[in-house]
Amino acid sequence: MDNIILDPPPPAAKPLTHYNLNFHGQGGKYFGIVIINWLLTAITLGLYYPWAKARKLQYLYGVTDLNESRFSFHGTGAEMFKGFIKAILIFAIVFAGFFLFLWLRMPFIGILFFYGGFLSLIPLAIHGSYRYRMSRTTWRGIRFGYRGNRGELYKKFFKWIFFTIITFGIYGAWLAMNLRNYVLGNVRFGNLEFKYKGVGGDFFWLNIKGYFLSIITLGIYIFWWYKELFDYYVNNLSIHDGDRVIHFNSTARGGQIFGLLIVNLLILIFTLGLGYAWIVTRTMNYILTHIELSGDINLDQLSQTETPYTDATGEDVGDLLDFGFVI
Amino acid sequence: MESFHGEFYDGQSSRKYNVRVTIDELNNELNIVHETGEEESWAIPDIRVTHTGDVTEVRPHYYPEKLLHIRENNFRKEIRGLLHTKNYDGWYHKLVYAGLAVHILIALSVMGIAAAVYWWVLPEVAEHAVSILPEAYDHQVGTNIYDNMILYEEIDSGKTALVKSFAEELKFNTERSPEITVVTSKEQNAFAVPDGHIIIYSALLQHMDSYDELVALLSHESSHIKNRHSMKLLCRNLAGYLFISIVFSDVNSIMAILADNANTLRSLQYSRGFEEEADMDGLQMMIDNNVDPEGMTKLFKQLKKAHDVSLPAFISTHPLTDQRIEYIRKKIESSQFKAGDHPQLEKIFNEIKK
Repeated sequence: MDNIILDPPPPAAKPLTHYNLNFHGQGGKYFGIVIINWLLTAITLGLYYPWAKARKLQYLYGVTDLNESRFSFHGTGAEMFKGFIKAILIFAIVFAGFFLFLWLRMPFIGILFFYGGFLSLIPLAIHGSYRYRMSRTTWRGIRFGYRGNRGELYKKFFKWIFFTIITFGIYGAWLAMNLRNYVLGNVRFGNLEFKYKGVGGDFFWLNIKGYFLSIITLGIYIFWWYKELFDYYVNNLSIHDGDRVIHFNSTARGGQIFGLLIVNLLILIFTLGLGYAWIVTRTMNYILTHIELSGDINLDQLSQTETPYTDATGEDVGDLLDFGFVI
Repeated sequence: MESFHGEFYDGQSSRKYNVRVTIDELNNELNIVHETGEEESWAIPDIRVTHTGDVTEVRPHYYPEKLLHIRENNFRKEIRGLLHTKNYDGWYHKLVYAGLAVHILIALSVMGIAAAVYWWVLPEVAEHAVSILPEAYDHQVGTNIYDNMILYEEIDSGKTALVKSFAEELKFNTERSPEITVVTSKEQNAFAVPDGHIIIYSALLQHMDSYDELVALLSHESSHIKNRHSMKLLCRNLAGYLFISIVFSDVNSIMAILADNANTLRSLQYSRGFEEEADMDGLQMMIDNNVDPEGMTKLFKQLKKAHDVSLPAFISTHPLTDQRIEYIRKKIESSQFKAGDHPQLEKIFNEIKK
């Protein structure tokens, strides 16, 4: 059997590692945070909002763990309050411009300015909130980061919006995927790089199918449509370090999503909304325990590469525009 | 001094280092000894401590990427005790760790206080706001509303002139006599605009049997103007809406929807209150003009025939007609009045009816 030793060794088969993603949030604990937030926000006539948001995020990140180490959110109410003030000023400028044009009796330009102003706030909000949120998130002390370029995002975004308008919205599916590919593709986790590879055409047909099947089945299919969307968001995501990789894999089932959402609805109705905290923790728990991670990256060897960034203006503009965080 | 095993992350890489940790109460700091023998210490006032699951996480607030995980129960107890006695723990944590029962109590109290403020304080504040607003503002808003409403209506100028001359015979409870416009419509309706306009639909005039009904209508509508009911309703609704969005918007959608609906019901209740006030003031005006207040009863009976849909009172903008007729009857019984003859009013009324 000497010849075996003499043979050149086979190319090193990379051992496949499974990573554990877990959620430890408890409805009762989160309820306490939500209620205290509510109390303080009401007492301060809403001014506590940025601090309330920081508390919520700190809790939810802190109860999520990857390989037995928790994530942390370091953003503070003070940072988000500053961003909040700046965001309000930005909105005030858009409104002031609108009224200025009305006053100058140029209503058409006024309306153009108004919609243009709001549209151009979207890339600002996306860019700003990713930069802020990522840089304030750590795992074992390693910062996440966002390396997107604001000018580039503006150019791309307006090009996609233009296509969406001239195709009467059909290009919206491509817009959604292009945006996701760009934004998530610029997310860093220490020296690791995120990648998302969604295809506009696939996403378009997935939604067309979901829409019509939901109508035909009187809405029942909607839960399986959600499942397909969830799969599409998760399965196309990966993390890279040179040629090493971590793959994301969804294990969600339509029937489970049906159960989750129906129970959520019942909780909401029978507690007159007070059970909201349990809905958040139940949903987060479902999502995080139905994402499987596997690959050949050693998570004990990440290095600190991203710089801290404390300007929360984009985050707050996003809040005022009222759209959720994508990731 | 008891020492604990900790996992240390240096903020440079995700590599885990094993360290020994001791709490130095005398110097008020945390000492960390690395396997290499290197030592560092963090001042207690500079650290942030969180407990999640079985892990106690400690990090300096000035460099939160450096962190220490300790999985020993004794450490948790000691550091918590220390933070507690030195009072670094803070009121926030006391509130958050107060337990479910306290939290439910807080939730119910916030809701109770919010409801009380909403019910008793807001209407007062809103009314006060109206009394500060100059009446010129009512006129500006009213003129706007009037111009928009009249845009799509056909004005009956002959009847308008007649009702105007009818109104000139009356003594109004407002500073100026109201501006009257009659528009052609099959609907039986009339309303007052804040700037002092009263718009009457022609069909309502057609269905009146006697002049005292028209007096009742004019006195009811002018009382709305006198009491600035539109402005009060606007301010109350606006205040209610603002209040609800501040208190509930950040909680969740179902609470916001419930609160919104409660607000609508409350607003309808205000509206019914204002209608009753206008009825009462209108009756007084009829009595002051020596016109038989029964005209009001006749007017409502007519309106009841025209709008024969019986909504329950609580979802209606106006009190139920039977209720109105009843309280009008009581008011008439308790008032001293002498109905006189009004040949001029009667004459004009007959011309209007032609």
